[in-house]
Amino acid sequence: MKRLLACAALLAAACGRQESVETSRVLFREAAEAAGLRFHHFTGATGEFYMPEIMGAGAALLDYDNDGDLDVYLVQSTVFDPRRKPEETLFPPPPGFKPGNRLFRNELVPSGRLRFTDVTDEARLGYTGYCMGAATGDYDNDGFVDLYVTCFGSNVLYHNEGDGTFRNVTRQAGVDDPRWSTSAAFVDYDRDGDLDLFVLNYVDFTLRGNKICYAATGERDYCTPKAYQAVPDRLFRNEGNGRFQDVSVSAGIARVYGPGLGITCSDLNGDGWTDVYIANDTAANILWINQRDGTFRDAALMAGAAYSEDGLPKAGMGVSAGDFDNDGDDDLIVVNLRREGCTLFENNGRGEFQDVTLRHGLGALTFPYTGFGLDWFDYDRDGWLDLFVANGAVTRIESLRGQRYPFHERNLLLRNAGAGRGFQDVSRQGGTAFEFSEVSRGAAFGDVDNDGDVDIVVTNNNGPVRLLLNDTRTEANWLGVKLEGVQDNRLGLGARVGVLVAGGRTLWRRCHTDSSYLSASAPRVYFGLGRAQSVEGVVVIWPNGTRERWDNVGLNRLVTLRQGTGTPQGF
Amino acid sequence: MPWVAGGTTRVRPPQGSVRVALRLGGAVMGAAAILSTCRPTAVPELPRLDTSQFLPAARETIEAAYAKARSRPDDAEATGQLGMSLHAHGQHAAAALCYERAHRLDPKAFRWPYLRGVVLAADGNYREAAEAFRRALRLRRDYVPARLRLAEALLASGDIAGARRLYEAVVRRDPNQAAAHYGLGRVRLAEGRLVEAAESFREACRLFPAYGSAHYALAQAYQRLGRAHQAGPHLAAYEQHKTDVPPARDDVMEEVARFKRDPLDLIRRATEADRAGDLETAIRLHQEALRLNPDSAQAHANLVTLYGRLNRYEEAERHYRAAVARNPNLAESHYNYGVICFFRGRRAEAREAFLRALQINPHHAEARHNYGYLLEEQGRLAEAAEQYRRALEDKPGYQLAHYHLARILAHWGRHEEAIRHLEAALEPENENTPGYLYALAAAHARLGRRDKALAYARQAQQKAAARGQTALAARIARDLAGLEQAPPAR
Repeated sequence: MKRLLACAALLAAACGRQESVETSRVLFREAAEAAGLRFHHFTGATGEFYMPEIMGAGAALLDYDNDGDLDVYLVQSTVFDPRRKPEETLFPPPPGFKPGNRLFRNELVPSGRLRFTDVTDEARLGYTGYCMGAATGDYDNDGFVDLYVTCFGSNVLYHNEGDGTFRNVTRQAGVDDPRWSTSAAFVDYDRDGDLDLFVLNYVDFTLRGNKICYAATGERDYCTPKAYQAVPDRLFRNEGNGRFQDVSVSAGIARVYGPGLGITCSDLNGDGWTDVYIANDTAANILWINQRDGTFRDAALMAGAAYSEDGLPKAGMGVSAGDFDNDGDDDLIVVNLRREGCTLFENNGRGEFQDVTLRHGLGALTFPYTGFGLDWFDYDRDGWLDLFVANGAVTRIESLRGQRYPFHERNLLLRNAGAGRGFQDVSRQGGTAFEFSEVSRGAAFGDVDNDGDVDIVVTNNNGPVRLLLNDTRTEANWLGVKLEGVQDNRLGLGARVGVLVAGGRTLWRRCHTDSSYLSASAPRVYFGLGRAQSVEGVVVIWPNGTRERWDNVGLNRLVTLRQGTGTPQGF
Repeated sequence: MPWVAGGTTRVRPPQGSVRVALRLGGAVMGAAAILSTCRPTAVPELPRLDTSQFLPAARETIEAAYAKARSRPDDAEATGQLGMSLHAHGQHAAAALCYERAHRLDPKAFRWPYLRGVVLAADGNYREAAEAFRRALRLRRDYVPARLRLAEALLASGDIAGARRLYEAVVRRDPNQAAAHYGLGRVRLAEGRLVEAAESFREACRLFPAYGSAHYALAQAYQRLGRAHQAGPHLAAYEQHKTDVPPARDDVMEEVARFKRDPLDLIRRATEADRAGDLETAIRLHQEALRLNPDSAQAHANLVTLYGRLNRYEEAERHYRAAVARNPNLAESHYNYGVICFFRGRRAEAREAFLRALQINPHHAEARHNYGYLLEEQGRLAEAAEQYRRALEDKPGYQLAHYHLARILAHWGRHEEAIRHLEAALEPENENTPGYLYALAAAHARLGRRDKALAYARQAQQKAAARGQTALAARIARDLAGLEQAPPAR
């Protein structure tokens, strides 16, 4: 809070706000089909209302071939009953449908044209299962990003071979989990320089034990997680030799668990060690505070982050950490079920949180929606983190009765007006991309067209993938930062990046692929700089706690900062 | 000590919620859209209802109200009652339409704008809800539930100053309104007035000591004020009363509740009664649920364990058969039945039931543990240990599984491993804790750690005595005496 006050004073006195930066009217353009990103999520629904049908699936934005543009990995489901053919299901897949997860290579570099090619087969990534989500990270620090896929059933770890192909190394690495896994995150929790793996599990649903849930009117509907028992999450420690060890019990994370759906990793109490926050569906959220000795302690209740202000658990789905108030620490947002609204937790810098949802106007804006994928990003480059939320119901929506798939909702673009002035729903100005009403789930964020702003890949349950290209035309400056870890993990995941703008203000952002729902975003960090005409420098706090500074980084460009090449900084 | 997980039978709350089709002119649309096309003074049409998919109980209630409303088109009461029947079954859009129509037909009746506000607020249409509540309050300005709901809608829609004025007015008029103090605390929190917010929450807790949300809010406020030592008791009170709220006398909403014919709601309430230890109420509510929906396998499955706990085995078995007839793949039915068979000494049937539960749900930790225990009884220790291990994979904090696995490990002489599992069984403390401590003492004694063994044995004895477990306390005392006389290990 002190930092907030200091910054607020600065803002009032000298910094000013960049809210007056002109932006174009159409903010986002939907371009999946035009760019060749053709993918339709297939639920395999047969009328049995199997719960996993309504929960998937996610996506990943990753540069798997290191050619400088972001490729897209899309997670697919299948029919549960192997005796049933896809065309015998309630919603048969469209013509030309290819089963299994798909990898689409972005041809932007070197062609200069945003175009995607399905390279699943040549990349050997065509896993067909009832899959849910994806996590990305370079777990062996060989310079090529690897991929972890969660499923209902066995999960898969793909090692990027560096030649355009992947290899399934799940068994050798020891990272399988036969339960219903959802979101996962690569995180270096022990600061040993390699990425460990945190996997969320949901409930003990089984196909045979599928419960019959229905409305009191007698109609079948999907169950809530309360119909089942939660199953524990898993933490796999990277042994550094291609193998992981399941340390869930010894690290303490097996002690507390709920139906986990969303995960975000950030140093939330400012002690230099990465903590983990988990959004649980209909149960208390968990704040795993890193004890700096290989163990974690759940501090959510005492820290005010377990529940919203009324002390009641909500149906947490997607989650993200970000410094929405520019006070130097990461705050938390959790999106929940329809008629619950999201919860915005403001961090006081010591890992203590206050539910400020009402104060920032987010309660009413999100109340009518069931939120899933989301993240903080500065779409208009005004220096304040905005929000995109992918929405879609999980039980029938009363007003959509009679429709074949009565779960669709529109997505939300929420602009942060900055300096405590709350959020505004600007979805209506969001352009064609926001005209859809679909059953959205995953959302992966990254600069897909390399134009210096953040675009979004949105997955739809029982629907097509959407590519939301950020077309916001603004005079505001920007800076993109790509990290290259040397002592730390190669992608720099877990690092905090601070851009020092004129006037002594520092904007802090997090290098991450985690957060959202079932999805992995690109690790590059983008800063909107508003009217700032220069950047005094960039500071990086690496996951191992070291701090470096780079000056003369320029503006309106993507810079690569390699660990060890900056000026070491004290604290 | 119950060696089988009988106390953790799974009674499930029901799932799902009620929906209704609102059809106007063949198109399906939300009430908000419909209302927006109405002129302010126009009387909206009754909604067309398709109740063909409804449960009979709900269908009968709604259709009766519907028939009455159609036969008396100018009767506000009939239309309003239809709204209430829809409202009671979660059909907010259709209910809002009926309430609006009833209000147009009888603009002097308080109930209809009030109830319209209630359903609009429930759907997050706070501004419209606030307008409806204002309209209602013009007709009955002293109705406190309406004032509180208006304040809540204003707060949710961001009109914090408006909410503050209302809460303050309610508190001035009736200082004993705990809900108003709590609301005022939320307003002050939103205004950043933390100290004053804490005062309001404290007052709410004082007026209604079981106010879960107020205790939570007060604990959080104390934390942020740097008074963590004061937060602890309120967090404890919150844990005890999480969902408890002050009783609010709202005659109008009680009238709505009387229309409710929702078996899911009854099972939910039954589950709460069960948690509170009121088995008779839990059974009665389940039976009522079955009268409304005889096909509810979950209600039958829950009754298996409820009757079993009352030793009414014949009824338990009857409900088991009924549950299986309706849904053979409900793991809880088999598990609950297995527990009953176990306690009746019918081991083979118990084993069969646990295995059936596991075939349906291999992650059912309790069924796996109990199956393991039956294997252990047969002397098949390695197989039993494997079952306990697997139960712990799915439920790492499962104390009984830790304990039983520890016993086998100790039997095999693997005392260090046994100690790890026994230590894991100690939290949270319950009636089995003295036994776990006793076992821990024994494991340390076998490893020659006399001091630790003595310490654990003393703890075990004290806790057993405190819990009235006299036989266990006496047994520990005998062992303790022997241990104290033994020479310390060198």
